[in-house]
Amino acid sequence: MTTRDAVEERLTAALVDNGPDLFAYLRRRTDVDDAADLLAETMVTAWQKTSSLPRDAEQARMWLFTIARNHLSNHQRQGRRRNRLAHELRRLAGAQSVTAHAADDGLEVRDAIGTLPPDQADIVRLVHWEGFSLVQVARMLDIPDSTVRGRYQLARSHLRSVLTPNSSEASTLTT
Amino acid sequence: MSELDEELTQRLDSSCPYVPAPSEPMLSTIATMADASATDAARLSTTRARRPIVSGLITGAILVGSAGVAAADPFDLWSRADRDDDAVSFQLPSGATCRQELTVPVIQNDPISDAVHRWLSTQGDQVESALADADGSLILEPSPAVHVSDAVEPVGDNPAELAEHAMREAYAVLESMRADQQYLESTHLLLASELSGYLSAQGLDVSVDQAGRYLGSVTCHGDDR
Repeated sequence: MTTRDAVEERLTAALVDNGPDLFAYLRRRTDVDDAADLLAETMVTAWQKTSSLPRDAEQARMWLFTIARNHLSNHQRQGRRRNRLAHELRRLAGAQSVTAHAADDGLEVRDAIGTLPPDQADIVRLVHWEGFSLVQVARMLDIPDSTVRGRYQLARSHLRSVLTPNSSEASTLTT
Repeated sequence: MSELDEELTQRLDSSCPYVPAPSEPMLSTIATMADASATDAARLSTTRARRPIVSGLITGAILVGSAGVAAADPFDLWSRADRDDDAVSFQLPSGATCRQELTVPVIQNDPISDAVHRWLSTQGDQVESALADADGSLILEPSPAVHVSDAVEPVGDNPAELAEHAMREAYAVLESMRADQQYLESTHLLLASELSGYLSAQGLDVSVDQAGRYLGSVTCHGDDR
């Protein structure tokens, strides 16, 4: 097997392994129709950049999420639908998503996250929804760890005050 | 960690919007997409290289576009950058290559000017990465115009056919120019957005429109292939 074959095999594996999570990530950020196209675009971009594919599986996962995130950012400016397989995925997912989650008690929290500055909200979602660590988020966003930590703490502080109005009083009692 | 912190963490974790687990057909489709996207990526790179253009005309059209971009700078305070760090290159759907110069303001001790100057030199890779990603989404669907351009076939000596061919070619060129123009405008917006985001991260509140003014001139050259 040549080096090129090995890289292509690794990328295929990374896309198959992370594809469902990438699709879920995109579905959480946009509607199911656009999520399918964004997943297709993410995969095409990954293939165009095989030379940058990290060897480590976790790093590769972060790399794919970074590409997906960039496509998501560009999406509002250039959203288009054209991929045949994305159309099929859209059809399958559309049929599936008619059943809403009954216990959707996170609405209040999601609304609170939505009131954060976009850069803070992005970090909170990547940490708590996608399961990335703050260090991983810093790599993905290409900003210093300390900046991510600072923004995350600001976000938590704001969320704490919004979601638990008597938090300062209670905090005093518990610390 | 206090109980309140733990509770907040739990609430944040559980606020994740519900997305149903993918069904077997969906998993199968995603796996097929992973393979098919390799072909798409290869097709895109070769299609782009093959697209014919009429260099003189298309360059003229691009200069109109860059003039529009340059007109966004109302201050006329810029001096041309002379470092590679202050430029980023990209390619238009027609195959023409463009170079976006980041020009250096003559304003001294201005935090925004300083930050703009640092932008490409420190974030160049990220900017190029964002451009490459946008590149994929912009050209994923070749515009009908490009199809027209690709579809122009050689004709014989029949004057009517020659006339029709000339007309089709002219339309193809016009449509190709429009595609390039749109691409150029999108790229300008993307760069302005990236710059605005960078400045925002530095604590400088600069809108995308304002950031666009910090971008200097764009020069493009037609593809002679």
